[in-house]
Amino acid sequence: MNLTLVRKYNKLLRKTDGILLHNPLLTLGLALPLAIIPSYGLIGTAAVSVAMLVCFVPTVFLSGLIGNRLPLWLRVVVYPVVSCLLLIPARYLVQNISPLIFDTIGVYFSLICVNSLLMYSIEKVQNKKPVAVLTFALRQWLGACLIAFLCGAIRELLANGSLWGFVILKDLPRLPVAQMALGGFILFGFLAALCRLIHRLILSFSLKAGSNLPQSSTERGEAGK
Amino acid sequence: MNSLRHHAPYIRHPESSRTVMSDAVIALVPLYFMSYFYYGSRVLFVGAFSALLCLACDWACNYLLYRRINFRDLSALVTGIIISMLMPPTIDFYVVAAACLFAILVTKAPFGGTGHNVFNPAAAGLAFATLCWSSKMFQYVQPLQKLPFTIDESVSILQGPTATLKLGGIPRLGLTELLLGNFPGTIGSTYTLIIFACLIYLIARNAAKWYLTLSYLIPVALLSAVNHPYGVDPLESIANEMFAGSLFFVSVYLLNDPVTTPKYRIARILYGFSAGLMTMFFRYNSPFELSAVFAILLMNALSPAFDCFCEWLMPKLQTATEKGGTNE
Amino acid sequence: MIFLTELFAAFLSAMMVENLLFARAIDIPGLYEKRTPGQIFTIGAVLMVINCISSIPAYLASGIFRSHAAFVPFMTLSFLLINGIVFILCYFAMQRLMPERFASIQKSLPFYGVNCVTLGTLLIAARMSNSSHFSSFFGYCLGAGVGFTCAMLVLWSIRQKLALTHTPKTFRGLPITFIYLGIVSLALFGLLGNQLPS
Repeated sequence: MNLTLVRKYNKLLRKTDGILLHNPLLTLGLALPLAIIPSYGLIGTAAVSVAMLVCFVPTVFLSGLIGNRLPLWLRVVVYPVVSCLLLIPARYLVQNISPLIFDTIGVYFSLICVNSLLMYSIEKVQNKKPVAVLTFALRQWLGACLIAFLCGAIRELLANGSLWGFVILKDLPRLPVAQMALGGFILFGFLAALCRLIHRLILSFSLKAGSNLPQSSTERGEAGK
Repeated sequence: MNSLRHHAPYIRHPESSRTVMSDAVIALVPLYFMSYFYYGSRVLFVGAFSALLCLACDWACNYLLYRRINFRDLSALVTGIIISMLMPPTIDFYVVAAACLFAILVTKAPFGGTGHNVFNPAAAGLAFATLCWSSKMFQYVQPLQKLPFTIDESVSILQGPTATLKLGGIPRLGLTELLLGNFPGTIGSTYTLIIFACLIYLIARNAAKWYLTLSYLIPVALLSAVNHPYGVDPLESIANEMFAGSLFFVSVYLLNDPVTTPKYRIARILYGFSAGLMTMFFRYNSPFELSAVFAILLMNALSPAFDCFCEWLMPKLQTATEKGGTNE
Repeated sequence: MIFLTELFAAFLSAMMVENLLFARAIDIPGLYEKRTPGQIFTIGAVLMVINCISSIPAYLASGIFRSHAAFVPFMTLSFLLINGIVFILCYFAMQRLMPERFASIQKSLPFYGVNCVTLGTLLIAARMSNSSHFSSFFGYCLGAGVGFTCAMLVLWSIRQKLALTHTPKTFRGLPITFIYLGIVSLALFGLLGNQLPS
């Protein structure tokens, strides 16, 4: 058993907490409306990601600063309202990505201000220091965006054979269900399973790798004698 | 002390997964003969392709998930045959492949394989193919013609009677045609007489439950009699709804899947009745002709709830009966 | 009669064809937690009450937004405020009228009061072209709440079955949840057809 490799791997996971470890989409299943429907393609994913950066990160930071001073029944109303106010400048920013973006993502743009990731995060950062809160919010945002972009790319390729609207695969049969909610659910399910499989394979590889290493110094010393 | 591992002595059930699935295969194979008679050898290739692909996929999944590959397990074969039976004779092979892959890779293997699937794999595969290639899934041809292996423009494509029913029309089919399936339809789901004979065989072998099929067909018959088109006899409307499409086939083969049906008799009756109502709801509101598979899939999700409902209801009924007995 | 027909049509549409969870993938915090049917009905009742009460001021507000296009960017904010105020009123009403029930769900109640389901329902109902009448608007809000409760019951039902099966370790938990959500969604898309919900 090679514990050094396992320790290194665990350290890497700890460093990427929120991105690889405890990913909000694949491990916690949060922000479902934003991940399943708007991530039908890269443009929609980009729009939601930008809006999330503008709304989600400052709101979580603010909730970390205020802490437990607000009761729970007021917290769940105040922070979404703050996030919703930030959605107004975000709207103008997102319009630059594609002028028709609001027609395609519809109500999902507005749902950014009440998504389950925001609710989870504002409760999680109650007793944290401001820098830790900011890092936490950025990690959660990055973790969600990374997976959403991956899914967006796969779904757009499967459904239209294109990426960011540019056709790449011309003559392959299309799979229109990839853009529907069911395509998103199934893809997320398999991605989550794949991530878990990779994690288990790395762990088992690290544990097996040790079996070929030279034995400990005491044993070596004894063998030398 | 020597000990032998064998089944507990109180288990005396003659049915096993192997016997139930073999019975299902025996009850499905005659449909291929009729299909061959109507459409030629192409349908046999479609059937063989679908069945073998499902089997291969199931074995591959078992190997990848470190499970023992059981060559005596025929459930994947049944899935493959049912998928091919509900496809039109002109179907492209890639559509069949997609349906089979979805059935095994998404609906069966992730849930734990044979005996553990929550949804009927064949129903899910067909629903997936219908949603992806709805135009190809309902292209039928006139029976009694030998179809070429590659479908070209020489083959004239027709609408099925279920499409006429959906549009509010009346498919004028005689009783003989309805019973023998001599009208444009799927590969193997329109031969009412043979399916009925197979149902009797399955009931005799305890591989299908008569009350489940009956409880499914009663709401279908009632609703189609009440909702019959103008100028059509209620009985004719019932016959058209039941036998002109794949509804009867679904009620025999998909509904009686031992894995996805509830375990209690009352729950099964309730399940069948609800599935019948749901099928008619889908039939009236769905844009697709093949609505029964979607309804079955939705009811599969609720099947454990029916069992739980029975578990909750039975002690209450028992207590009420005992109280009644004491009062008397 | 027309009022009832419109209400029923919008109710059925929101409950089945455009089910918030299966067709639109709109969730609530803690969707994947294990719950008993009693808890599910309580959550469903909370969602329905908040949806139905919010639908009255939201309908009036949507009329203003329909006539003044310049205010549309503020529609989300106004609906969120309506939703928040209704939730706070319900919260204190429940505390006063049903103290025992309130004590059992006190911690999770706020998350069921303001979430994607409650806000999403109001937004979708306001955007629907046929919801210019109050009956449709109200029917949609009621149907969305009932539909989401049914969706949670379906999830509970599948979980009951999964507890008895040998799901592979790789798929246990969230992956299999996503997969069965996808398959139920596939079944409901049989009603919607090959199109994305508007």
